Amino acid sequence: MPAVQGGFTSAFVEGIPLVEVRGDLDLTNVREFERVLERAARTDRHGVIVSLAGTAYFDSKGVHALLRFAERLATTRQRLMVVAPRGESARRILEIAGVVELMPIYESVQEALGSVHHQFPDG
Amino acid sequence: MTTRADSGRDAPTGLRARDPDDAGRPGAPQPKAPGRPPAGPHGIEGQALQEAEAARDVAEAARDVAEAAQVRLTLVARAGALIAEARHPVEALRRLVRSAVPALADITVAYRLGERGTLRPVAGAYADPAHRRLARALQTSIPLDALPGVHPVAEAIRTARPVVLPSVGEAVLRAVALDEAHLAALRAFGLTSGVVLPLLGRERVLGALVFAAAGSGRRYGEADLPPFEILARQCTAAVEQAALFAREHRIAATMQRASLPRDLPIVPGVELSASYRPATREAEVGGDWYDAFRLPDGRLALSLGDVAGRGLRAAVAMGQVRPALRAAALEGASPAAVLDRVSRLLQLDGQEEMASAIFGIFDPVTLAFTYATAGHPPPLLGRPDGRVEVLPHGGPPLGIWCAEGYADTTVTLAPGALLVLYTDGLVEATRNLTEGLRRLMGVVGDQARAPGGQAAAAIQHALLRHEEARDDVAVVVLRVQPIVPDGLRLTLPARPSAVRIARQAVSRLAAEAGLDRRQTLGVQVAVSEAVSNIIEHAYGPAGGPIHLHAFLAEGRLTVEVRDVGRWRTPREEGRGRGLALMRALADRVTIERGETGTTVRVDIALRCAGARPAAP
Repeated sequence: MPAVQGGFTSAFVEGIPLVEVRGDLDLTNVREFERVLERAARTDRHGVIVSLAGTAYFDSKGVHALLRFAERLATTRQRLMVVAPRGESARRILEIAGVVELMPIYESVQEALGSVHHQFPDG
Repeated sequence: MTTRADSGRDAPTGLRARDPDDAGRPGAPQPKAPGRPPAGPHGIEGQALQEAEAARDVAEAARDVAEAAQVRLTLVARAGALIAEARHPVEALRRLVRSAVPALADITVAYRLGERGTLRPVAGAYADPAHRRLARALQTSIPLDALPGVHPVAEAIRTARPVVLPSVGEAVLRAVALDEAHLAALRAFGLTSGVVLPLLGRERVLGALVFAAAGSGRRYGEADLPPFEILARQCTAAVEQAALFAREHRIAATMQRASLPRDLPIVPGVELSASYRPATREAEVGGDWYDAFRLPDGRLALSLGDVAGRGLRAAVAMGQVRPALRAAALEGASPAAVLDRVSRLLQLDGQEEMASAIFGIFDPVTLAFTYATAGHPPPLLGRPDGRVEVLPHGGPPLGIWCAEGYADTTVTLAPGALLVLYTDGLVEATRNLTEGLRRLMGVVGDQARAPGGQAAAAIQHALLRHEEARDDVAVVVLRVQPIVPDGLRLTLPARPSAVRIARQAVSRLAAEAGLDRRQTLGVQVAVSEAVSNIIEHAYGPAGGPIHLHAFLAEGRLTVEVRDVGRWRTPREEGRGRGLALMRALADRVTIERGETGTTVRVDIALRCAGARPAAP
């Protein structure tokens, strides 16, 4: 269904900030994406989940944004968790770019949340 | 043909044609004025009222003056009707002075008093052509304060009363002249008598009318004032009315212009054209609009419609409807839902605005057009073979509540197809709507068969070139470019939006070529990366063009992306990873750097060309 609008939604799931990327992420909106990520990072000390499950298009602009964001979170000891289901184009781009070796990639938001609770059992 | 021009020119000429020597001399026997009715249509609201008042004024005055003067009053009444039709203050004054000479005076000059007290002659009529030449040399603006106090124009304005000069001699000229040169010029007119009347507006003095004798030997006295006073009153009303008209039209036209998009969006594989023609009668600018914009997902939104009513009110309403449609569309609603929201918006607070509209969204990749209509004529679909289909339409006008509501219709446009949206002015200009629609279908068929650039303008021209534009007309035409062996060529400005346009272009080609998902992703990424790189690195802040050429040949889809900038050392971070993605996803990537720019060429082999379904 092509009615998906390009854009970002920010929410909290079980206390963890979640940024979802809908539609296309490219040069056109990567700056906005980075601003949304930065706002999310300031709301929680544990980390941020970024979901690419609803992303229609993703390229090196998104890859760089995620890598820069991971570095920025590392300085404040926060974690970046990326949701990118196998078989989707965003996952394929992350694989080709070698990002999968640099940060944890999850199949779903639930899986990402599970890893948070595993790491921070006391919430 | 507009009847306005007739009423503006013919009647005064007819008056002027009479012999200047005896016509209109007070007391002199006069030829019976031809019994022509006031020319021209009564297009102005309230004009009938003005005419009635004029007639009443005339009747009252007629009782008080001699038999001979009645002829002049007929003339005055006719002049009143004539000036009442003016759509601009200066036009009203021009009509007045023309109708007064030579019947009532040898020279008539109308002055306007500006808001800063500047007196400016804006219209003059002269029985003697030599006087016209003299006057032209004198026509300058003068601050009212600079005029001598005894100047009859200054006096008439200051006292708000008429000034009668039964005889004008050297003493009067000396008192009035600004300097020696002016005095000499005044003498040359050979003025003998005159009347000056102030134009008393509702809030201030608008100016003055000077009627003078110079050559005919007529002599004005207090008893001659009534017809001039009537003329001055009519003139004031006409000037004020025309000022309102001119103001309203100016605002309405400005709003209308500001409301139409300056540029149409660039959509790959699509020729988009639009045409708007305002109604000819100046004050009747309507509320037609058209709009075309890209949604964030790259699809193209089109809106076109007609707000009920005319003039400023319609323009204001239109100024609300168009952005409301945009806002609703940006929220991702379907066309029917978009119309529904805007209709409910118009119903808020008991607003009585009503509009007909069509709103649709075109997907440049799948070529699907989904639309809904609201009390609007049906869109037309022209096929390359010349057949024309009337597409479904229905739904109540916007602003009207109706249980029926709006419905989405989707049509898929084949390559070469022509989609035509229009307002009813296009089909109602002729006798009836059915006949108008039939003619439109013929023209659309012709356009579909013979592709040309500006289809919207061509269609409007073909239908309306011989018609007076009584109503606004807006036309938007979307033509899907046929698939050509040469592929798709596109030149885009190096701005971020170019990334999505370029990606869309190759996506359509990929779909037509039957590439699978993986191949489609490859070509999308390759083109996006190449275009992004040009935007970020090829040009300075001034920008420059991006040339895209995508074509299918020799079992490959090839995309060439070219810039004409000077190659600069790119930031390694950006370039490296983008290029790696391109290489991994395409079968071959070559980069040629030359003196005149850089060309990136991407090849994707069509492995099972045509056998696989198009990318979802």
